[in-house]
Amino acid sequence: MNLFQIIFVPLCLLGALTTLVRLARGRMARRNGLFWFALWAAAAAFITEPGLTTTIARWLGIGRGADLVFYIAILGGVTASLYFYAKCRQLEILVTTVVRNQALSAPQHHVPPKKPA
Amino acid sequence: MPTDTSRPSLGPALPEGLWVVIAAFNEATRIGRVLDELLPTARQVVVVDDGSGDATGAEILSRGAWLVTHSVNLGQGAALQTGISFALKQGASHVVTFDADGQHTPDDLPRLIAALSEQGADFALGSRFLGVAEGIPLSRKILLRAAILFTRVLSGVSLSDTHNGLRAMTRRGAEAIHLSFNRMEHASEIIEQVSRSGLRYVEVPVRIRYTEASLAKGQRTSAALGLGLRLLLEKLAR
Repeated sequence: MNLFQIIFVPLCLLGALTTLVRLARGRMARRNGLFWFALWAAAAAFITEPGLTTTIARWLGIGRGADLVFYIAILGGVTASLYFYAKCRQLEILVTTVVRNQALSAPQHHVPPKKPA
Repeated sequence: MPTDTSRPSLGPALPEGLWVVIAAFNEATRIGRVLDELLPTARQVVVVDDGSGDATGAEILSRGAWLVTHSVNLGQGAALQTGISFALKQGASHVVTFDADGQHTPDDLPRLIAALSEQGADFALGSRFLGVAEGIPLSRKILLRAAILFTRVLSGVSLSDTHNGLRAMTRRGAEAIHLSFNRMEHASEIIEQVSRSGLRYVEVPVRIRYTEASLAKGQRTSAALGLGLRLLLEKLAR
């Protein structure tokens, strides 16, 4: 095992274990929990055995394992950006609704005094 | 889509139930003049003070217009939607959106309203390129043309002016508008909603007056690019 593997494999396993514990205690939605557990477990497996990515890449017709990781990272980045954009929009719409309802509940109108003829 | 290129006189009176909606943010120096010009023509005006830090609210109240105040700055799109909702709550039969910076002239109001009734439309969209754009700089003209093209590609709607804040709508039209974009993207969103509503719309020539002050607060090219990007993101995130 090299230094990178010594540091990151236990970290990934810890991530997977924490996810399992949170799932078991009902602190995470089942689908989310399984997704994160699979992600941590896959990361631990790929770091322990880098040849695995190459095997999968060849099977998919990509060729190099590094390219496979790169494509997955790009896809993950774009998906995460869209997810967070959608969350921000939800929040923006919520804040707007609150501010709008507050504004509509207190309209103001003064009739200015007529100017003397 | 029909275009009303006629220029009727200001003869017909504006409908009793007409409400003019203005969004204002830090407009204390200009809103008074705009209201002084507008109130003799339109009796019911609501200005949404979009979280201004100056005396915009006091100016509005002193002129006799209705004031609805956002506690924080949300953006022109949000303010217009608040104003439209307020006008509908008051029983408006027609709603006109009008800019706070003095670019628009109340003389165009009868023309917009007349176009609605004469053409049986629910939306009358002001067009500076069918009418007059006084003192428009070349850079702004190019930016607006690009926006027209962008809207055409994104929404499939072909208009001569897509980012004109002067529009009139019937109550039915106003009820079909639900702006979700808070900032300047609302101009494209409103066109899309008009098109999707299936209601009839017409373009009407209007006069836009560009002044140093209005240009200073207007849309910058960099902001316009960001606006386009957000509209594309929204399409992807849906």
